[in-house]
Amino acid sequence: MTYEDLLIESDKENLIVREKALVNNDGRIRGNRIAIRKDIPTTVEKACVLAEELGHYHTSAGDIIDMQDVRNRKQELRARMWAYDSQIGLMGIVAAFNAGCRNRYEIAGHLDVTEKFLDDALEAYKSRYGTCTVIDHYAVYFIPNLGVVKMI
Amino acid sequence: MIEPIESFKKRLNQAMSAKNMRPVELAEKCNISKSTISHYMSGYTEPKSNRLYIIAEVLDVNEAWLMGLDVPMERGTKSLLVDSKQAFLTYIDSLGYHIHRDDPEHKPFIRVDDILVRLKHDTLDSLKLRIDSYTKASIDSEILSLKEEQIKEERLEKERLVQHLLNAAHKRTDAETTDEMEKHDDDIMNDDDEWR
Repeated sequence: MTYEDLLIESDKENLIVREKALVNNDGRIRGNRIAIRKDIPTTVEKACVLAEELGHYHTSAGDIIDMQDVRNRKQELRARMWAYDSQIGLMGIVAAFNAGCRNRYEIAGHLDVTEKFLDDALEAYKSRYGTCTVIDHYAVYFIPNLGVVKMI
Repeated sequence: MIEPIESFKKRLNQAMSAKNMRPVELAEKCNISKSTISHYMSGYTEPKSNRLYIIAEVLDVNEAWLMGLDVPMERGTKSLLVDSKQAFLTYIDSLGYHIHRDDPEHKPFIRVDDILVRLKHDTLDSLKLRIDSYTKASIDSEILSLKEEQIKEERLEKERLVQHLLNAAHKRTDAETTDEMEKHDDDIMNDDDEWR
């Protein structure tokens, strides 16, 4: 989803999304308020940040600022997972394959996410699915390298 | 300040002869040693206020009189200007307040405008004792302090809620972060004006 789509999505959830002059964070969520750092250069990066904050909205509860607390880190992980699934997902990888993307950078471009975000997502999927997983008529490999195989 | 016109010693002796009480008897009833009583009677020492109160109660005389002040010897009873409960409530009504106390097991509450303020029983009783031209003022101050408590409780409740509010951050990775900067961000998130 693009930044624009995510903004519409959060509006439906009655969330107030504003770009604010944050200095310490790329994104913050407090109650129904989401702040995105104003001087993030590209909308693609902003979309990744907003997706993660939306992930918090859908999966987290309470004050989880303190990352020393393992319970809070777990919630953080869950929010990120939500963001990866909403922005990329296995079907996103397959769609990028069908569109003829040949490497990670092209996939990131096709999915409107940053390369860093894609890397993080693939790392997370690797720990979730292991070597490979099958979805519809496609097998998606994560180890040793990202690969998609179309099965006939 | 009112100065004593007679000594405590003299008043004590006067009271004991008036009530026909021997020093030994007084000592027993007050639970004070006989020698202390004799010290009081000879004027060697004078009692402190807590003992003075006990002695005055046993002798059934006014404490102030016992201290030697120019007041009547009889104990004043705390009498109400308005003694019946109904009259008191009517009087309060005439001041523009309405006290509900239909259920004696629960705290009475007072209605001001459209707000109900709960009163403690002893507060109500003390109001009855103070009933005079200052009653309105004392009720007002009572209501004000109760309202303050309510407001304080509401604020605490709100703070408790805010603590449970979802609060998460996505730290920026391209620059060093400090606590001061974190506070700046917190202020933005908590400032209602920023989010209108």
